[in-house]
Amino acid sequence: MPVPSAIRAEGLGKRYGALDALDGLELDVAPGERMGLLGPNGAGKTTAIRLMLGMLRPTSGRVAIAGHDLASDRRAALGEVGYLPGELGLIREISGAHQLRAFARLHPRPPTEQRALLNRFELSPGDLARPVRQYSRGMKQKLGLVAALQHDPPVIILDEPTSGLDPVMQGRLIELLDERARAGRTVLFSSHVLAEVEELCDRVAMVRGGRLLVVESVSKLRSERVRSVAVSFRTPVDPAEYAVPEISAVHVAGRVHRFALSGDPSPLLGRLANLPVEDISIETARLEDVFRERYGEGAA
Amino acid sequence: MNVIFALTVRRTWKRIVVLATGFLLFELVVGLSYSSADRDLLRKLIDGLPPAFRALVSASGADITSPSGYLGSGYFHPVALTLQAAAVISLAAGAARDVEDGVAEMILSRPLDRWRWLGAQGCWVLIASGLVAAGGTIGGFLATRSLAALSDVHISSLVIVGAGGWLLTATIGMFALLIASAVRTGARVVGLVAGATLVAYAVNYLSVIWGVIRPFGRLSPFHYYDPTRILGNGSMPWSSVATLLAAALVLGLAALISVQRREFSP
Repeated sequence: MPVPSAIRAEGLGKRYGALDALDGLELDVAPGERMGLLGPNGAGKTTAIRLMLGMLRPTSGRVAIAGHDLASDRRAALGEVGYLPGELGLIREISGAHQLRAFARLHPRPPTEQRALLNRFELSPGDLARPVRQYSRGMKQKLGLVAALQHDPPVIILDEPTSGLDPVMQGRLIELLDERARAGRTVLFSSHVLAEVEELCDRVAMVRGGRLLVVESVSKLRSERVRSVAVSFRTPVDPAEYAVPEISAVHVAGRVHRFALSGDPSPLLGRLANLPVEDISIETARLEDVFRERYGEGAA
Repeated sequence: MNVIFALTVRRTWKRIVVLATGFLLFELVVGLSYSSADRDLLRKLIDGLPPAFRALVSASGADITSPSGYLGSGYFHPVALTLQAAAVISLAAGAARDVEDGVAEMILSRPLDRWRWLGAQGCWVLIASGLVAAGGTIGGFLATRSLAALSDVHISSLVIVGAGGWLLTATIGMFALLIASAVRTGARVVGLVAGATLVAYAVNYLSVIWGVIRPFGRLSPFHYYDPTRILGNGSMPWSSVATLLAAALVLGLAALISVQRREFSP
């Protein structure tokens, strides 16, 4: 029997009057996969996540979590999920400890990871005894993360999870999510911090204006990016000697050759290996560059 | 559902204790002030008032210079009604505030039915309104025990007044819950329900003094609650009990159905 997708969205859409907040989203996240949801503000990331959790009713399409259809089997579907909202809502008047206990009791899975998470995020019993209104932004975020992950949920959905965390805690969260994914848990998270998506995710889904632009592996996106290459040769070299389909716009100035490289650099490096190369620099392909190319400057 | 109920109680019990205590003290003061009232002068004063003013203290035209009438007028006083309405409206508005603040999203991303979430809050609205009403009943009872002139007012009548007040505020509370099940902000719930409550009070009041409005009086929940008459007769008409109970039930059920259909986003 085939293993169902951890998250499967088919033709998922949400319309507000004349505005398509999300239009026909097709997304299939495999169990154990780490998927990043990218897009500028208002692209439809949070709408997509809220539709996946049944907070919003779709205008079209359907969502299934671990094989449970959200429309017909909402409780079973949400029983698989640990969720951190982008706009975290905690009860201000009540202590962190009390809220963690309450959130634990609202989930069918026991909070087996609670203590370990509290230690990892450095939330002491003293912190937890205080009402949440006394918490800093970062402490609230850490409490929200513990509440979302304390049951070791098979499907982890996080909307801007590093928001408000200091760099050390951001690193710990990325490390934690990496561990969970290695243990077979599925992670879907939206972020504006492309470096952390790049560090953690296997694949990214890019959305803009409510439409899915692309779903692709991070490595493939990076490899597809056009990068600048500069090669210095010890002796004059004819560009035809290293010509491969991946390069273009060759400009030769003396013994320094500059050109654009797209895709896999291996064929080029293979050709250059037989030539008198003195120095070479290939611009690093970063997800951020791919993102800027797709969305335009200032999108992130 | 128990978890949500416990969370709701934990957040709001102090407010309910304050309102119940306030209602207790108010009814105690009203009762005790009867000793300083010159009944003949009071009767002359009331008789000299235009009917519109007399209707403010007793819709049924009961004699408010009598011990039961005087004590009963305290339960229909705007302060008493405001204390009770404030309790239920503020509690019911909490559900909409939770949507506004993202608390509802945090809770309902767990495998919990929405109607259970709202139902737990509705249960606390009913219990809390009962506690506030009980405060008023205890205040009236303490007044009757403290003042010989009020000793004829029987505790059972005060309990019925409390129950009637509870039914009235339960109806308002369930209406507030219905509004909270559909709107996005707590402030909107407070505004809409407070406005509707004032209109209902005005309709009931105008129906007493103005023949044109009289047929519409039955549309107001205040029409079915007359504490001076309850204390005078020692009972509340079953038709009034049934009407308020049915209204509260229908409104509460409508709220539970409505919340199943709503969307949750801060």
